[in-house]
Amino acid sequence: MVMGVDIDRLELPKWYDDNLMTLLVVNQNSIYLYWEMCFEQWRILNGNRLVINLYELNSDAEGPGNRLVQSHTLPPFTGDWYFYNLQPDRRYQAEICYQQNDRLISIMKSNIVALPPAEPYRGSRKVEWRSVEGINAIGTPAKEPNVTMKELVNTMSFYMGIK
Amino acid sequence: MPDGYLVLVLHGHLPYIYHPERDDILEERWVYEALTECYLPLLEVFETLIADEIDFRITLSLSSTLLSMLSDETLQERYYRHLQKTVKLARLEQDRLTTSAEFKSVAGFYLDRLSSMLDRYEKYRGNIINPIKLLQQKGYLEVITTCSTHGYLPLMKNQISRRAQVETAVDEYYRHFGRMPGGIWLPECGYAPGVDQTLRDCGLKYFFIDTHGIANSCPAPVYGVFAPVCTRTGVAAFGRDPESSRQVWDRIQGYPGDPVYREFYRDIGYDLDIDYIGAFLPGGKYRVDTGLKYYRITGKEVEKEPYNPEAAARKAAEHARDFVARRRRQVREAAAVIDRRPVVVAPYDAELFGHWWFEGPLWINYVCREIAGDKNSLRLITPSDYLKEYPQNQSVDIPMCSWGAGGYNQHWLNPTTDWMYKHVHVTEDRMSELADNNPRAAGVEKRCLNQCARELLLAQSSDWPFIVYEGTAVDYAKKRFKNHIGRFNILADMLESGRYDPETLQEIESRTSFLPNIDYKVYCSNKYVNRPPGIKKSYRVMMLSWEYPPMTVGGLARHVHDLACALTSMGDEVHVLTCPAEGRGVFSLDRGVYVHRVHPDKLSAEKFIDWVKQLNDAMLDMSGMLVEVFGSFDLVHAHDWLVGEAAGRIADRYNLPLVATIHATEYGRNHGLHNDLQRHIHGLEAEFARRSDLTICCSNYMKHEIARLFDRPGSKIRVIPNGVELENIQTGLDQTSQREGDGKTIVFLGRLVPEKGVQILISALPGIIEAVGSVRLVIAGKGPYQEELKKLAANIGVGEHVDFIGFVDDENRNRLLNQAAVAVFPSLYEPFGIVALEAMAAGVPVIVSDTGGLRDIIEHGVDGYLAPPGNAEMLGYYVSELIRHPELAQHFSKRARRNVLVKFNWKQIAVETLGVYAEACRAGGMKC
Repeated sequence: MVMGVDIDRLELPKWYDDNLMTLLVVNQNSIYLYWEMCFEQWRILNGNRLVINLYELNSDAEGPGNRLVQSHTLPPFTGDWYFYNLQPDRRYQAEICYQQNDRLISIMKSNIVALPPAEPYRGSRKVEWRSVEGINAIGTPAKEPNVTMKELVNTMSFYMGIK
Repeated sequence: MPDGYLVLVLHGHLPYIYHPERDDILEERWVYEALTECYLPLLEVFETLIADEIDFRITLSLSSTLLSMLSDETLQERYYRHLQKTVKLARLEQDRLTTSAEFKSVAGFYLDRLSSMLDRYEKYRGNIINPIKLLQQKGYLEVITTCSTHGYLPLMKNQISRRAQVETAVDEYYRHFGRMPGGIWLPECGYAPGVDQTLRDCGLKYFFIDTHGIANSCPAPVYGVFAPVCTRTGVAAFGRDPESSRQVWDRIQGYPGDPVYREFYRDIGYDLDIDYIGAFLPGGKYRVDTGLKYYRITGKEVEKEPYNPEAAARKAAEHARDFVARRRRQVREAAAVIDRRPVVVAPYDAELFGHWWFEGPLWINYVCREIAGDKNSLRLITPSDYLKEYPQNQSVDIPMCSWGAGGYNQHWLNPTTDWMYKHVHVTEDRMSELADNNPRAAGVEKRCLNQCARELLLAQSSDWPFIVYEGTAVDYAKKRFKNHIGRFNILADMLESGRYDPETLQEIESRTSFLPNIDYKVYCSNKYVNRPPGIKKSYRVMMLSWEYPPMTVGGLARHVHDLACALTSMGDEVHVLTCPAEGRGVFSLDRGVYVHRVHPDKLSAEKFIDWVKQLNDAMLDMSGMLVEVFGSFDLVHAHDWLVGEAAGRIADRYNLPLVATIHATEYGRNHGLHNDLQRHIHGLEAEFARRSDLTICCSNYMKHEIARLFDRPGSKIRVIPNGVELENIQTGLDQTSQREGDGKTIVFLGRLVPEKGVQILISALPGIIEAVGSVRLVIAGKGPYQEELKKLAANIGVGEHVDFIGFVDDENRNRLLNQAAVAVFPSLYEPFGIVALEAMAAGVPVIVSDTGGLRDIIEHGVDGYLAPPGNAEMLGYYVSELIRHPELAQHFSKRARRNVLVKFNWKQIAVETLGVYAEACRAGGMKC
């Protein structure tokens, strides 16, 4: 024990006195959010009840077209939240607000996360090839493949069942 | 030549469970078990294969924590004593069971085996890294790295933390093996977009991901998992083959569950009388595994039968034949439909072999022999050798994925573990800040910083949340996590206060001798100012821009100047072609940048479009002279449409790649195209974008705009933010006294045009004055909208609160910012917003519109506010909040300044730009 502290039995800080808000991807359908507010922010809120909103962002660009997908009034002393039943392959951002008279004041926004896709890509993006950095070939480069996705799916057991 | 290949990957990792301060920590036995049951037996297998002249290739990844523990002399000594004691126990068991028909031979089997382990360990002199190194030198093993403490990258907050995990691992690998690793095992195959950039920056050529990571890539990989893919940054990814995984990993149908194999849970450490076995247990009483297990799996809910090592060996051989036969069939079928030799990637935790699956090493032995028996069908290969044969692979975007249950992050992020992440993320940020604030630390300060880095790395270990979720050694994992965060905080407080306690530091250091050569600067946000690996040492760049200081109208001039200077400082030769400037000749050398100005006589046209044509013709002429005098150039980099024609023609004439930076669009500036001139300019912008090989823009917003307006694929657009030169922003200047009765100062800097939204800010003033009392709005800038703004201010009765002070130079800008209580940028259209960055860098709280590129700069409620664009009421609310609550404003400005340093520094931007240059040159078939 040094400095009056046992460095093998330490505890975590209760508070960081800072505004933090971070979204993390859990899986293709759910997100975890944690937040904390500095003492001054809590003082300003003056006991107003907080609301948490989750937006699904436009695929094109962020903007007023973003869709509010979930909104929850937060119980007191809540510092985190799970959002479930979301769409894979979409982007999301969360926001904490509070009610003042007849308007919702936004206090903090989180980072943006992109949920992974839940299935193979079905679009028509062009197939491109590139070299791996720093690898010196010992043979001739591979030719472009001459097999269609349909042929692949029909012959390789791993892909069977993929519609 | 074979039909195809098999990559067998063994991933070796243990959490850092070495406690030098005590020798009775139960968890340290995990190392002993792994040595006895896995690593030593595997080495025996490899050496026996070589002795029998069986060729094989296996890929082995070793974490830094494992390397550290295996090479620690105290731990080696402790293990040696443990092994001796276990041999003694085996001897006692042989005596005890000498009359037992069922177990006598098993006891003898263990005694022989353990004695052999002891001899082998003595032969290695306690360090098994040496024989592994030798096997790699002989070509039988490819040893790769993994993250330093097995940190799970997708859940780390930022690239700096990811890079630190990878870079320290690479450094530790080099320390042990004297060379760079070719590839990396991502912990838990945890991948998120952007991780590949980190791997590329650290010189790594490949990694592994789970099956669905390959299957769900975009576009769909044409070879499935039977070939690696390549990320945009040029790092290859090998996908796990699901079939070979199932055969080994599946609890019910996999090989290890066969009834003949040894039962894991029946150990004499639990079965025998404590009076007998106690001498071999920790503390004489804590029942743990001894490794002596006498039963076989037998089946579910039946009495366990005695283990028969010979029968188990025969089964292992049978399973090996089955495994290889299936792999041969797999590659034969795949080879029939793809036009290269397919590769099956079979990765496993190394500790599965020998520890969980006792016969595992024997199985590997038989697999290698079976494959060697027929080299025409299937051959073992390492990833590096496969990539040498097939360096060209399909370029894809890989989504987030892992090999954890569920396929994503839930194994590490769930209600039992979520509490950890706030603490580790705050610690990550704090570590980076400490590193940036102490770039040249020495002595006790440096020791503190290095130990902080160690504690953070250890806190990030994915083992802690994994163990907590699995519910095994929960208390131990929680305690470890808390202690690492706690020790970090103790040391960070010392650093920030300047009051050091050497005794505490010594005590904390003594807990971990991990990564002895760690350098805390791995956490510096500006550390990666070196040229990215694998690109040309110096580019000769022809950079075209109509604006360049001192000819400055908007942010373009400053951007081009700062970029040119940053590239020059990295060793590139930059030639800027630009307009005339008063008081400047046609050529100057400005901080190493060659500045060539068109002669004023060449720009005589009255009409704007004619003037632009003259400028472009003059630049084309000038390019010929430059090539003659300086030699050939590597590429052309042009900024905005005004110089687009010249850029395209120069690129055509000299067959050079063209990189275009589009800072803003005519459509965006005017919210549409309303007249012939705007439509004409739009057409030129479109041509400029399409002609370029790659397009750079400053924000995600601009990327979408360019893609939409000019039909440009997203794959051809790169987002690189603008930057600010912190040295140009002075803070803490003496504040000039404000006018009596003025109250707080609100500042706006920028051009006075409608898109900058100053009219919204003026409209918000009455509400602000009502909320906080008298304020002074200082508007610094010039533009055609100024008179309208003055009229507006007068009409709504706030004219005396608004000062229009015109354009300000850098010094006066700094002075103005130092007076400001808040800086506001209420743009209606803003591709980026350099002035907002400058205000943040000056430590002024900032409010911007929630639009365009400004969104990429501010984190709402964390380092500033984002106000709804065009909404005077909400803008006024946020301004009032920051004026009324200076402590909150101070939180914001501190974070804002930090974010500018981390995200928007020119060195980082120059490095990213070089990456684009390399890519453009590569696309043009040039040496890059």
